[in-house]
Amino acid sequence: MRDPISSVVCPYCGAGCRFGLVIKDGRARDICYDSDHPVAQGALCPKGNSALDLLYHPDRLLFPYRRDSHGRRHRISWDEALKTISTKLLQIRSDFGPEAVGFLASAKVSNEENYLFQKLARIFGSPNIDHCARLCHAPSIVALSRSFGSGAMTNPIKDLENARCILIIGSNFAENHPVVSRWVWNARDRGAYIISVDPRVTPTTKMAHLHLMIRPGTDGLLLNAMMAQILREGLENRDFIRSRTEGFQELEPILRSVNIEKVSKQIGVPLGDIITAARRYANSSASSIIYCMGVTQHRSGTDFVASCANLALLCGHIGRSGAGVFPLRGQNNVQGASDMGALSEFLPGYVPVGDVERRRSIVSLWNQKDIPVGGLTITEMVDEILSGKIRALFVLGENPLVSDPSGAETERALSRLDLLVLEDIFPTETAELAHFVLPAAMWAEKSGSYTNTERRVQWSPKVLDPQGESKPDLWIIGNLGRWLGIWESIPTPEEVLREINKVVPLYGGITPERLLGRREGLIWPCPEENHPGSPILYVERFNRENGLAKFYPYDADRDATPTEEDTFSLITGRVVVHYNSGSITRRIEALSRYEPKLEVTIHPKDAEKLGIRAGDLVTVRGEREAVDAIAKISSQVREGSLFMPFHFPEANRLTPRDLDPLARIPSFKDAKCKISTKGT
Amino acid sequence: MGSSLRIFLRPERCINCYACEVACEKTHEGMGNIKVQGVPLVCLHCEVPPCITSCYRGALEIKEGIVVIRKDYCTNCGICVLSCPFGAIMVTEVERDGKKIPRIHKCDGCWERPYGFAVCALTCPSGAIGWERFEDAVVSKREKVYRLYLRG
Amino acid sequence: MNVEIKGIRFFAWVVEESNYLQGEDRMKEIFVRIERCVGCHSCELACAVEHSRSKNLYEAIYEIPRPKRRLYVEQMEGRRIPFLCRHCEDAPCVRACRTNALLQDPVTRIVTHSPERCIGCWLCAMTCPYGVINREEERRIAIKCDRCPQREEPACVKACLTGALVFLEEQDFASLVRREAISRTF
Repeated sequence: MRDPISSVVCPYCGAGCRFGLVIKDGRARDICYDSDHPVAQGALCPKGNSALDLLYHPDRLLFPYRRDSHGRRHRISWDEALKTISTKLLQIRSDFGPEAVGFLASAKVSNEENYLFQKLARIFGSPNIDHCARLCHAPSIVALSRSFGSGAMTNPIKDLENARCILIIGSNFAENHPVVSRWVWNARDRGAYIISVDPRVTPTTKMAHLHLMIRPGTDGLLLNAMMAQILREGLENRDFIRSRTEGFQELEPILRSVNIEKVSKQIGVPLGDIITAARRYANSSASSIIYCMGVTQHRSGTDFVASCANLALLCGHIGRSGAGVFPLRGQNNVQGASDMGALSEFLPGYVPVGDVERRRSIVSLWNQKDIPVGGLTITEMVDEILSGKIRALFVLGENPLVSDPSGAETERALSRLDLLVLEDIFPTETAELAHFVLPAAMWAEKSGSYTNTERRVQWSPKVLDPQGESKPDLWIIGNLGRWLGIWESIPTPEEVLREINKVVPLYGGITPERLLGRREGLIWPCPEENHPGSPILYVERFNRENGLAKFYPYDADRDATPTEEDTFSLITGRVVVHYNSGSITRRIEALSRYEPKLEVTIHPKDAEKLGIRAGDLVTVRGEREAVDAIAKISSQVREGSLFMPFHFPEANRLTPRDLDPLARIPSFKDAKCKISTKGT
Repeated sequence: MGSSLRIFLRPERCINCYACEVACEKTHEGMGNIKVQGVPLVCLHCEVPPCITSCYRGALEIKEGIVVIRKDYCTNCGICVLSCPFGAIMVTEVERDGKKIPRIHKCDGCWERPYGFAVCALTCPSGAIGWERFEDAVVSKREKVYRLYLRG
Repeated sequence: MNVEIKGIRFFAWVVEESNYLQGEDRMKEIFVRIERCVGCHSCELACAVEHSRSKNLYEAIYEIPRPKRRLYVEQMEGRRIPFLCRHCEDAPCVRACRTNALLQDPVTRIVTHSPERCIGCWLCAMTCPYGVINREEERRIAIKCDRCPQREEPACVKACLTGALVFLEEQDFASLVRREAISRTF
């Protein structure tokens, strides 16, 4: 007889694949593939396939513990842990004010947990709530919200196969969201033209007809040059610009003044390729743009995203099947965590904290008069810890020590805190600094809803019992709120989702009853109980107040900086077998054997010049620090650039703390550094 | 025979993500039968298989289009490993009674798995490994050429 | 030499190019003029008969193994297209074949298939970009176009009534197309 199968949402990337867990005697034994699921027809990447190794990993945190000043761990009970933490938090609040406490939410936990966590932080009185969307797609939220009205993907992933031209810019989805490649290949087999813009040769560029190997950080120049060429040839969609957009008159003179020949030299791509890309994108009947962190993680990340939006608007390639803008989100619930308002500048449902009336109406549902505003972002919190303004930090399932830029500074800051509480599943690098570590239950051990990159809200049920004394995050947050005197009872996930239905109009019709019965979930916006969900956004009107999209001009020429001799630009990125800060995947042997150590990729010509051979231990010297890595020589990178995966603690020690002025994302993608063999 | 499903690779689609390797190892207790090196390398279940021709014990047979090893007949002599032109028959050393002995294993199309067969095909994110009717696969290729022709 | 068509003079290369190059290395190929195909399947029938033992339609239908066609007329979205082996310059099927059952003549570029070496792994069918390698069910091996080695002109071309398939040298085909273009223009 077959054992019962329970369908859960994959805990890794933002694609939101579903798979079945075969449960026997209270233990998950096998994975089975859900061939009817709309995201990827049951396909799973290596990370999804190793999900069982994750559940039963020996390193899992099973008991709450306290670290004393000598770094020794003392196992404590939940009651003691929560009591001490809440007493300390209240103490800090009365001594230094509520602003002295920072809260980091997580893109890995469910919508309900994020909602409750930001509610706890805000009712506690602290405006400092943020999560790691800041480090990946904050510019998308900012730029797409102001251009289109919502900062999310416009079409479902499956819709890519209806595109006739796909422009991939700054995304290596073949490694980071492998299931997306299925739909891009299908599109290609149906005759679509694929253009890839990437400073590296990756499995993604392999599937492209045209690969523009630009210099790192020149995406904005390229996009403007493409738009200029489209204007020059009159390929823009005038009807669309007239009837559905505004602000084009400000963009036009900037584009008219672009000198494409000069840009071609600046970005290091033949002129003909830029023209081909522009013509193909503009001429096809339905074109899509896929972009990812290669666009956002820059000093001008917001402007680059705005340029992507401008390009789509210029040709009217939006609001139809096969035509859209696809920002691929990195974690299984990073979209949901942003929707739930776990960001310093947004309340649930992307209500800006500055909007007094809407803010008051939301907090009145929480029985509050008002909440504090003007919170700090992740990177700013680190600065404020160093300046002594923030004394305590509550981290929910994140690993800031590895994922934040300039690791040394983050480490210095975190070790200065009066109170650092970490809630996680594994003893990460950050746990070595935390005063209290609380063990959380894993994704299959709790129920909740997750929102994937295409806005699909899916319910993942509890199918296993939590191991050891680990508890669902909702229980921990709920109990903490009780100890802090914020609320009396711990809600169930269903109760929280019902509250979300009331507070967030986008989720209005996504009730627990509807979600539980649907494996494929619902796609927001879904304002009412009988609304079927909206897979394609902006079909009739944009979400801005007047229903029009807006062009935000960006003069890329302004930001073009020449690079110095013998300075390399370091690109950080991901590899297929590892996941974000690597605290999970570096522990799983089935995955880590493919990429066990930190490698830095260098072009053969540069390597020859510097006398570096393959396999040498090299020192990469950033602005502040130097780290050691193993050299890998390959022409997959351009001359003058290096590549390093950021799954290892060393990589982000080199990245600078320069922030995008609007979205405040650090520029992970163009660190300047020098490289030499170790010892010289 | 003519209409049964068989493995059909689309090598150009492979993105080298190792999903099939991880899935295969998980299903076969650590003895993976597929390797990825830019393209998936796995038993193609030949229709006139050299491994069967070479096996003197008759330990390999075709079962509904899938070449499988009959474990009780196999002596782990390794002649099939030599005869396979694709290196798709694997040898893994396993410990038994304190000694390391080689074990021959190859793709069995997940014959015994109750939850859907050929995990590599089920899990492949890019669709490089397919498990389909030969005729359908060939016709879909022609369709692709036709679409390219239309695109100009 | 100049030619005159409807009062306009052209240089000779337009028409006379076919006589320009002569030598051993000039090979004829089967070219397809898609717009001419009406989907009558005559070529498929002729191909199957040519690859039978008796080479006669009435006997061929009783033969075992059943004679099979090597080219395929597919109807897609109302269009009919004959698909046949292009005998690629650097043939992927030949590169993929591990048992040397598929071999390519270095001069004529014709890819031939020897049934006795074929093990039916279908790697050739998987790598072929045109999907023109098929399987013979009885012998469980691959079959593909051999461009009719015994015949002067392949059977499919001979059977094509509309001129959708033509057997010409590259230059001849190009000049044929050019000639047609000129006659359409003037």
